[in-house]
Amino acid sequence: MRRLLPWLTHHLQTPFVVLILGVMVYVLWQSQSFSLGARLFPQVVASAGILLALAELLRQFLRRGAREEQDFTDLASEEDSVAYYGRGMLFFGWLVVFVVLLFLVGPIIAAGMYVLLLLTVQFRSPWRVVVALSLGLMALIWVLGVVLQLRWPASLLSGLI
Amino acid sequence: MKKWVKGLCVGMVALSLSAIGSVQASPETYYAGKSIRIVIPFSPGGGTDTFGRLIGQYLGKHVPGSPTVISENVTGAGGLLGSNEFAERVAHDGTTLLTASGHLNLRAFLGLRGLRLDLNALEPVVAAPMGHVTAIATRAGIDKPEDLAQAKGRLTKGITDPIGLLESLIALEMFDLNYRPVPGYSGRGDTRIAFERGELMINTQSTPAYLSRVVPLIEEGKAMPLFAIGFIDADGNPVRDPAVPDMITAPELYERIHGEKPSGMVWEAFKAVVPLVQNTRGTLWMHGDIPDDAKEALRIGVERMVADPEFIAASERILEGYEIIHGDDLGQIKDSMAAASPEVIAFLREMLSTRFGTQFED
Amino acid sequence: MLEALINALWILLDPFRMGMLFAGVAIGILVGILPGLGGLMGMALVLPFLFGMDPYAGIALLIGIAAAVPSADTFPSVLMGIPGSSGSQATVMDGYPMARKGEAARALGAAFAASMIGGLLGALALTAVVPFARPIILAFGSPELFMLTLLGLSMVGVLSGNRPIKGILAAVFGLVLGTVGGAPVAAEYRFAGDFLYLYDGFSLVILALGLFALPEIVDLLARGGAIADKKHGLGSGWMRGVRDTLNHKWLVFRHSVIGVFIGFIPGMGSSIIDWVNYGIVVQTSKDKSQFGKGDVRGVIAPESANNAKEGGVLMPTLLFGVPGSSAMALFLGALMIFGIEPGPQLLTRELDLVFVIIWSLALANIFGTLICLLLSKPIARLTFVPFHYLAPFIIVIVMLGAWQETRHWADLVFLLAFGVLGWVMKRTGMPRPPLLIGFILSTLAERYLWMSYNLYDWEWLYRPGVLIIAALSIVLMVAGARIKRSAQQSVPDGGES
Repeated sequence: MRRLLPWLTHHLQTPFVVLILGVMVYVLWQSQSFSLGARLFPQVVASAGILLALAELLRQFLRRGAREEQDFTDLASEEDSVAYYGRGMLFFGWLVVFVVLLFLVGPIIAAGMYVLLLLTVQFRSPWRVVVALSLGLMALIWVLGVVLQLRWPASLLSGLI
Repeated sequence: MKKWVKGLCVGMVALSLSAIGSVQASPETYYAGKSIRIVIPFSPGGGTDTFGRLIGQYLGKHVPGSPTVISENVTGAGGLLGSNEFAERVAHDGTTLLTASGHLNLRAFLGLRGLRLDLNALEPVVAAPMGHVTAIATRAGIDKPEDLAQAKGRLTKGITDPIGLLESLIALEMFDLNYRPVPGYSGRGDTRIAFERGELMINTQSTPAYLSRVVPLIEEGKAMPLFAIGFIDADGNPVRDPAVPDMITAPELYERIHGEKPSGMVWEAFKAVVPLVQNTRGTLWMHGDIPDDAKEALRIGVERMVADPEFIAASERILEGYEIIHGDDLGQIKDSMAAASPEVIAFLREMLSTRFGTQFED
Repeated sequence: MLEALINALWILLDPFRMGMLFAGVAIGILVGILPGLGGLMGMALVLPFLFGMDPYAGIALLIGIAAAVPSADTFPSVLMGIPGSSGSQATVMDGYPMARKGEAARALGAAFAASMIGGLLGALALTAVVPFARPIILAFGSPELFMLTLLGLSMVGVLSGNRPIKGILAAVFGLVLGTVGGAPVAAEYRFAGDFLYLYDGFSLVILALGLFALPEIVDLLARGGAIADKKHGLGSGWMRGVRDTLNHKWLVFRHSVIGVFIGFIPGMGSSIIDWVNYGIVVQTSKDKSQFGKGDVRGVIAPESANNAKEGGVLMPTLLFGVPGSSAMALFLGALMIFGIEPGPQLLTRELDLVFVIIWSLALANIFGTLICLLLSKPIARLTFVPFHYLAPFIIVIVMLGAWQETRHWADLVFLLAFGVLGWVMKRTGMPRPPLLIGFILSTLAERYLWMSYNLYDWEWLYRPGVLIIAALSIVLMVAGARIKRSAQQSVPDGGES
């Protein structure tokens, strides 16, 4: 396990391509049941995808151990460590927190609570700043909601009231 | 306390009055302080959307109690999401209405897969009609509609969503024309450009679009009108399209070619499809089980609205030469649906699923 | 013609109409800055007010919105790497690295100057090609449109850099994602099961926000600090950005023309325009080493094009009543409210109106870009604020913006899912733009290929238009490869430092 994680982070590209390969195979397999007009395009595309994914796996095998060369496409320049991946997942978790809050208490309260939570729990910011930002964001969302006539999800809280 | 007693007394009086069926005060107050939400299951800008917004703009003023009316586009899945929301997830109290197009009504009528709108459980509030005209390119080499069967070349017809064109498909079916369907167009406007470009040989447009966009092609000598789909009266007889009264209708053309009136299953299907699509180009639906007061208030609102000169002026451009359907005339919408036998529905579903692969609810 | 032109300007200079134009520009800037919202949203907002309004004022209002959005959506693209609306995805590629280097103000200056010139050229093009528009538009049948989608897909090659297999694989993956939902040529829903949300397929806005916005937010938070690297000094220099644009006159002109032209063709959709332009500018540049790291040309090209396209998409809308984009569909609805029938007769009978539209477009572009330029200096400073203070604002706004797409919980679920996908792609060196291009073109490619075959069997392959576009894509690809090789020969180490 201790050796598996570093290996995964350095070679995440291999499982990812295998995953894409899996999706392509699924698409090819599923599309067998469609009528001709709906079937042909996904079949051709998925077949091409399978060949490309296999070619990419072969390339990765031949160049195993070598680091990806950077160029103008967007290979991330951040560090490639387990700790960094952990932090990344942590912040995806924070994104989920907002979605959950949104459906629980509605957008305006959720926005305020989210600022409070993220800035105090995660970043331990000075409370005056946190409160000011929290109120500011709530006001902003409220104003945008009124001005742009935005519509919000029905929250659990409003359902209870 | 006193207020409460007074309220109770008024309530009892009202109850007893309504029980003997005389003066009823509550339609006047039902919508007071309420708001009406009109669900439009299409993206903003289309013909049906504009109709819905027109109604939304003027109806509130005239419904007793002056409710606030908000039109909301609930898009997604080709109108399915908005329609299903209206059918399943709103209170049946008259505060939510649905704007449907004729073709959405047709989809519900035929039971398209995924659509859970049951028109039998709804009642129309107000509707607007619109006709359709079919034209053919001059390349087909015929000079009068009667020669349709002798048309030469590949008779390509652009297909969008087949149910969205059903009135034109069923008319071609009636003439037993061997056309080549070309699916993939994203809307009638698209097929019109392709027709203009010469890609497509046969094309059906709404009558206003025909008048403004196809007539210039006819003047250039590139196209020829074949027939108007026409309307069907309460007794099932063909009637001319009021926007193009001089143009022969499909059933008349059939009679002229074959020497007899159309009959049989295709004709029955035509009589079911055409009124539903063309009388309800835009329809405002309410749930059938909303309180009677709400129904009455909406009815009053519509009657007052159609008499409002401001509304008449604004609606003139949007209705494009047709008269709004309201009051007792709305009955014909449900009558035409009721008149269609289960065999006709089965025939239409069979035709759509074998020719175009359309999937229906079981 | 000249008389109508001047007459139209007088019509528009009425205070109420000018007020409406300004209101439109203000709304356009607001919805443009907010990620996930776009011109369609802004126009839908004002639609109820159009009943009974003076038609010229209403048109000024709508055109004001349409013209300001592609300028304002540059802010999130450059400052935060978040595509502000579907028209400014490619601006992220170089604009955002510039902001990271502390050159946000310069990038914005260049972008807005390019937007303004592009927008004016778009309005000018609209005036100049009015007489020839109809035959040109009619020359593009299904086979030609299919070839144009292939031309768009060929951009994947250049956008994949040193990893062609990964890039093409990403594009194919995008094509596969695009097949989800209703099949374009059969009444069948693919990979959707009974989940109605998927009947329409994935939304481009959600996909673009997921692929680009969420990974950037997560990485900035994980890394800590501000968006801009303090080492590079404070970000001033929007004048420098304006000068950059003026120094690349030819580039601005060329990409404005391409933008107008693609916008012009009904059925291509306007979301591919910025990618095609980005691809072309990379492909035709001798020194590619700085693209993706903050080359100002990578900002100028898509920004000139995406403002110019508004002139282009108006053409099929006005002449054929066929909308060139979803916002134009709404514009058509508004014309209907005013009782204006689109069609060639507009040019003979209502030339005044056509010129009011053109003037509105030109003036709204000038006002919109000037306001954005004024805003750019203070807003660019945000890139120096510690990011965790900005993050909750951005997260909340992106999520709530995404929610406006169909207002279905699945919007947010797929936003998160695409966010993870984008993050993994970023980590594994799989380029994201090809995926987006594949996704945008998937339905178009499938549709036009089937239609070509159904209409002409295989004869469509010999049509002159098809051959010309095929030749053009081959020339572009060969030229790109040759320039690339000669650049590598002159700089043996490549651009690596």
